[in-house]
Amino acid sequence: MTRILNILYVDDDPDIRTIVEFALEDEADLNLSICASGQEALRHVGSHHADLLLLDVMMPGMDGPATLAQLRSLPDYARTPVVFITARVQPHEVDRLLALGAAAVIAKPFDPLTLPDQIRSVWHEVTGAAP
Amino acid sequence: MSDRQARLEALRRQYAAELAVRFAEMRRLQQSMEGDSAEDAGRQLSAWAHNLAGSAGVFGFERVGSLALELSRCSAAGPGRVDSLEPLMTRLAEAVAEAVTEGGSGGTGAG
Repeated sequence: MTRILNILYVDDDPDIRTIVEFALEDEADLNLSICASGQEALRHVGSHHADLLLLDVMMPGMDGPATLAQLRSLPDYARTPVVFITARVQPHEVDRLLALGAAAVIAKPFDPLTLPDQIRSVWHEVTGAAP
Repeated sequence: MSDRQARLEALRRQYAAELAVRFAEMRRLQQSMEGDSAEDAGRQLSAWAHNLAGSAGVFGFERVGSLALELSRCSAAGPGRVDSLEPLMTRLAEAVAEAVTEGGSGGTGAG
């Protein structure tokens, strides 16, 4: 039986939320929850479990790294794998995100048709397991 | 065309149809980058450009995305740059016009 990977995706941009939802909605092994802000994500995790965090970097108010810091302070999310998704992928920017503990950085623009496999690949690298 | 590709193409067309309105708002912000509200307008323009940079390429409009990324960096540099932004805004306007036309005609899809 295939394990279902619960993904929490946080992005303030409704267009990107729409395309990520499109990209993952037909994948039986991936279960997507979407939040529009870090604050919403913090409320969401109070009642829903996420195996993998997919975070936009630049968001108004609480940005991706700040959201991660808040989530990391919660015992259930102290070690949850995180993937940042960002248009700013200059080497120093990627290095900064990896230094925060990111398992991977997905560059915008990404291909919505291959995004599910990108996520599975990260999950496999981090855990050694298929979703 | 598969059902999945057709759905993606529909999303792409919808996105393209809204591009001109977004660009008009960015133009308005650029023209507000003078006087007391210059800093705030620059910040807002940078935020709009950042969102456009993140989304346009995903929907298959790579040129719009790369120009928007450049604009987000330039407009974040501070006020008093309204003139220096103009060449970039002009190129972005052209790219948006192309995208609107391409999106309306169906295009080739993202990816």
